Amino acid sequence: MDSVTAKNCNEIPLMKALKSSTLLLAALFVRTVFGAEEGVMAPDFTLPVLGNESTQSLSASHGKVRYIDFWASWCAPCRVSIPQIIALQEELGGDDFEVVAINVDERVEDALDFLELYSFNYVNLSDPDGHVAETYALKAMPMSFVLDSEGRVTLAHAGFRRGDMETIRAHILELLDALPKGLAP
Amino acid sequence: MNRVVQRFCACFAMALCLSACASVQPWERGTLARPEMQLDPNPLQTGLYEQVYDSKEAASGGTDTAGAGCGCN
Repeated sequence: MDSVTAKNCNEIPLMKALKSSTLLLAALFVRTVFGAEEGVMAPDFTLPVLGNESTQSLSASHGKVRYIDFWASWCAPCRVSIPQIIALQEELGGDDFEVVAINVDERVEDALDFLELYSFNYVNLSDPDGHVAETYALKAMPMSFVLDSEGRVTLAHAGFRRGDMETIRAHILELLDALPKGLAP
Repeated sequence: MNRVVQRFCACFAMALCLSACASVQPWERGTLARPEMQLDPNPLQTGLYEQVYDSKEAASGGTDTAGAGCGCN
C-alpha cells in the first residue's frame, strides 16, 4: 500500500510537468489553429479607409454577401487578381454584394501609389500592422474570404491563379441565388 | 527520475522559446519582396551573361535555384 502511495506521489510532479509542457506548446502554436475558417463567423473589424480619414467596419455591410480580399502592393499574384475583382464588383456589386479589400502594406505610401494604377470601384482598407490579417490567420498572399449574408465564412481562398475567379464567382452566385427572392439581382 | 523528466521538459520548452528562427507570416513579407532583398540584384544582366556563357560553353542549364522573393502562393 505504501509503495502504491509513494508511486502516486511521484507521478503527480511528472503529470504536472507534462501538463505544463503541453499547455506551453499549445500556446506556442495556437495562432496557427484559429482564424477565419470555413463555417465560422468572420471576425468583425474596423479599419481606416485608404486615402481618406474615415474608417469602415465589416459589420457596416452586414446583410450582404461579401468578398474580402487581403492584398499588398509587393504581391505579384495580387496584380493578377485585382482587375478581376474590379470586374466582379462591376458585375455583382450593389445591395446584395460588396467587395471589401484590405491592404497589408507596412508602408501606407506604397499602397496609395498602387491605388493610382487601377480604377478601383470598391473600398480599400488599410491594415499596416497586420492585426486583422493575423486575426484571419492568412495562409498566403493574396487571400480572400467569401461571407454569406449572415457573415459566415463560406469560402477561404489562398493565393490566386488565372482561372480562380471563375470558381469564386460561381460560389458567390450560389450565395446570391440563395438570398430571399426579391433581393437577388 | 521524475526530476530528470521535469528538467528535460523544462529545457525542451525553453529551447523552443529561445529558438533564433522566427516564422515570417504571409502578410509580413513586404521587406523580403523588395528588390534589394533578392539573391540576384540584376536578373536581366545575369540572363545576358548566361546567354553568352551558354553560347561559349555549348551547354545550358544548371545555373538556377529557387529562392528569395515574397513567397506568394
